[in-house]
Amino acid sequence: MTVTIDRRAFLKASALAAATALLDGGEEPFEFPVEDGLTWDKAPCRFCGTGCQVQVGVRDGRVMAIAGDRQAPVNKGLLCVKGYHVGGVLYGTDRLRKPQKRVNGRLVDIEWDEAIAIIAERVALAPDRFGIYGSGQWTIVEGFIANLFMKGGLASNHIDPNARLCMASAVTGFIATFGVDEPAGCYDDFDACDTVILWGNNPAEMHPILWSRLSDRRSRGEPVEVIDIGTRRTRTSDLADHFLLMKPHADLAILLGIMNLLVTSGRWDRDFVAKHAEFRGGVPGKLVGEAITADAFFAALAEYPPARCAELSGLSVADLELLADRFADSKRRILSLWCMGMNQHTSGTAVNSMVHGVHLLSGHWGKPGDTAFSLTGQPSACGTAREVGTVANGLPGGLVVTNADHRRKAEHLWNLPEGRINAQPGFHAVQMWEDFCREDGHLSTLWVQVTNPGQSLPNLDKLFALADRQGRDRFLIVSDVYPTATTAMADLVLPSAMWVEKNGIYGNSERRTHQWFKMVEPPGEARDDAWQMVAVARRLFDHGHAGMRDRDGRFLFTVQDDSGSDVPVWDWSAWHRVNVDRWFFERYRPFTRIKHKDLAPYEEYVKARGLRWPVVEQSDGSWRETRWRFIEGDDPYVEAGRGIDFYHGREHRAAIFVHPYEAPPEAPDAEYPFWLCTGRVLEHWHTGSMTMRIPQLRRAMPHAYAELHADDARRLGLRAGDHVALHTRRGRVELPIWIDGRARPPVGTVFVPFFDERRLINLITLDAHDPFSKEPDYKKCAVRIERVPR
Amino acid sequence: MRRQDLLSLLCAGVLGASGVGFVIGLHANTRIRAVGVQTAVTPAERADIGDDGKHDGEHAHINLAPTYAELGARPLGPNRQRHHQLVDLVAEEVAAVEAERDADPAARLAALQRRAERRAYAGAPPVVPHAIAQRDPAACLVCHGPGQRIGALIAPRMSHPPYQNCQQCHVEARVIDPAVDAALNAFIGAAECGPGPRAFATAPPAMPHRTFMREDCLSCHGPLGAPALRTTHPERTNCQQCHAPSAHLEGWREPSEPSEPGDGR
Repeated sequence: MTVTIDRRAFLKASALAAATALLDGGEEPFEFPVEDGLTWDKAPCRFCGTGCQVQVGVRDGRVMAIAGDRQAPVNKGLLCVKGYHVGGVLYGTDRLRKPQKRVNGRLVDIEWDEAIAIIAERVALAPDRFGIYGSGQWTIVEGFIANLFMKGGLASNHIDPNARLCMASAVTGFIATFGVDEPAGCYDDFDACDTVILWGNNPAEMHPILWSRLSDRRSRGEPVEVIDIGTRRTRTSDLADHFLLMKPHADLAILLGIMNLLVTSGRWDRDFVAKHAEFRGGVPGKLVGEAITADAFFAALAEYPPARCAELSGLSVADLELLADRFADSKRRILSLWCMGMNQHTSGTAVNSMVHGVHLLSGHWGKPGDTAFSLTGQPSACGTAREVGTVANGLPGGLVVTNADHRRKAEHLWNLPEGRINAQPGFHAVQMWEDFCREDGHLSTLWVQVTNPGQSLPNLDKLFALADRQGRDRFLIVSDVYPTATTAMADLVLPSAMWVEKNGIYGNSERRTHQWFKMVEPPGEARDDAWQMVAVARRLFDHGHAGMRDRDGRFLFTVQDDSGSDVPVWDWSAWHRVNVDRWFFERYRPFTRIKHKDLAPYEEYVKARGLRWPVVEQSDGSWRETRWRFIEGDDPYVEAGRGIDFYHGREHRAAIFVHPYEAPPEAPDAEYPFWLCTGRVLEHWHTGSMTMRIPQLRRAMPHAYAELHADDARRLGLRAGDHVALHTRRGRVELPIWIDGRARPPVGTVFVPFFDERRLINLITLDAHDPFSKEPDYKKCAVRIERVPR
Repeated sequence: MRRQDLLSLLCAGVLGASGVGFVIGLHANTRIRAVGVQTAVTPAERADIGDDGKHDGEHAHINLAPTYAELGARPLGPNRQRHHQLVDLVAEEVAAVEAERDADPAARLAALQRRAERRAYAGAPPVVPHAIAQRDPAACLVCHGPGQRIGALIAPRMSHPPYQNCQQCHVEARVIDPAVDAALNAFIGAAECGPGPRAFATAPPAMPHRTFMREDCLSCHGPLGAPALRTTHPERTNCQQCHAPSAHLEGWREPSEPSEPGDGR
């Protein structure tokens, strides 16, 4: 790398020397190149859900530089260290370049044609035993095509994304509370809030740009109060005004305590609740619970006096009062933030809906800076997994397969024969992998795209037990860009184009839809994920598979050029003849209008640095985005005069839930005396398949570690750097320990990041999950620490 | 009357307490001094300690501070090139500016190469060549706020306004092995361009790089900058008065427009 820079720099210097000679000689005035020779274009960052915009500098067909996009409202020119080095994701030396098939245990190169034929044959053989495991890193169009392929083509709902592991509880929390998914607020709330409450969240590492937005306000002297409620001290806690150490799993107790204090002292917003809210109680198996009277609501809260909540949560009564005081102060603007701490939780749905609930109960909702905002982890968890509905029970635009009217609408928009869409929800992620690994499982073929379940699923020995499947009819297809723990078990590996090697559209945490163009060629024979699926669909169509035809007998994925003639996009040489992204995006758009999530025409996104839906056409033909949903003046779907209108709620109301505290599925005991928490670090993104191949990031954080409190280490006779074995009921992992490292867990707690494929912490995590969202709890299980002699 | 009595009593109490405190304080002071004497190192023991500050012998565990008398003569470990004379510092500054006038393209190239060693591409945030043990951004600012030079070792002054989370962008890289990097990743970073274009031979050059996050020109072009990149006229304080930025490099351009059909756009 350095060699090439040197060479280039040398060439430049030679040119400079020649030019200087010219000047000295008084010859013709010489004009130095003003420009850097780079062609710059916009793209969203490839990594997290923040959705920063970068400018990508390309020369000679290669990405050579990155800059924060100063015109981007999300990041205003700033990036984090991952974003600055995102160009490197394309150039890991072991990029997959050729399709590979497993023969006698080894992967051997094959041609694309054979790969597509193999998949088509597997699908044709047993379409109902075929499933797709997708991703919140799928572009919107990739998700749309996969969803149409499964639900419209194969009449099967066995498609679920990795987002199930990530923000499913946020989805169920929103639906339970507001009747419709995704946050009403946006990043503008970060600029207007007076108090930020972090519910088990570490944005200084996980959403650094959003954290900067807050910390920069403080640097400018604005009094932004930060209250960090967490199970360990992090970089975020360092800047917090109040760090409230809670017992793992006890957030429900904190919320019940706050609500109890507000209600018993009469400091709740009666007016707001009377106008806009209703009380509901949790009912097992029923996401929307049941309507309860105010008295029943108060009675449920009376079970949780502050002293009991303090006992359950580890916070003091004074801490609970501090939080209640904030919510009781109607002048203060309160922003609640959370991400995996609340979502990866066996009570994830309950906690999510109760955070919304405490905001609604206290009337801290609907003014700029006054809202509960869920952060997402993947670049298009919102745009693709949620909005396109690539989930086991979903359809695009917030529709569900279990609703006959929704199925009819989707069949109409997809031009499918009536009754094509299956009403039976498919397997959700955990079920899907459990089934695939079971001897008598139903699924025989799984196609994984843009994700790495071999590292990210919990309890891997159970959910990714694919090593001993000889003799069983199990076929794993993996489309990816690098070898991973998942490709290691694959029967067929397909090399994919990524990020700016293809056109794409992503949707970030604040409902912002970003578009970008292909800028460089993918390496070797790597091809778009969307093309791979269209090619398989065409193969099935050619072999007479009825599902691949629409109502008029035409191919499901027919694409036309501007003149209206069909383009054979299943042929790779024709794939780039038209903008396939624009074509399918326009087919997807009508879905988005059904539940007021309107997207603008493709061209509007080409011009913009992302737009927040609903984006609605104005009388002058312009397109206007929406900052705050359900609020008159901003949301075009709120009736005039209503002020706040929860138009997807029951009788235009949002729900304030009360859920009883529930004990964690596993807690430390004599045999396994520590809590184990897992998560991310600043330098690496998820399983590290991209960031561990970027030298600057890998050097800064070369391997996983077990973070331990000094007192625990002393008691166990351990020193920093010693190797320990972590044992849970599910297995054992060895790691070096780090004391007073990146973060500081309290006594009795261990933290391990999950980015390191050589130290798979998910071998020992728990697969227990939330009953509504089906999202597993990666944040706590019981673990024993043993020294490993060197 | 009663109140005055009370006041007098209070005053007496306070005075008495201060008197007692003073005596105790004196006593404590002597005790501390006594302890100091006990742990002081004899000249003979001092001889065990090498000139470079490393010490052997039985007092190896004691970190010794030099006496004031020794300060001028003793080298200061890693800081041995530190100057004590203002005159030296000024002379060095002058010499640096003089040297700058004679800097040739080869020297500039060397300076840019050195810059490139810690950056993935021109404009990337530099990685940090030392361990970062501190959590507080204020710790970074102690050196990188004003910028510091100790002999040849330079702690560059930040080129941008301070943020609260330095390690959000700047991460540790104590050892960089280009061969290891090349085996892992084939990314080729854009090199710094330059020198800036001039309208005519004696015109001030325009800026060959963006100014965003490089707002403080003197961070690199000031007296603490790398030789051959420094300004020859540090006394001029309004850089952009003469050196114009470039809209292209700043990234101020229209969003991309769909180009010709047929390339997938």
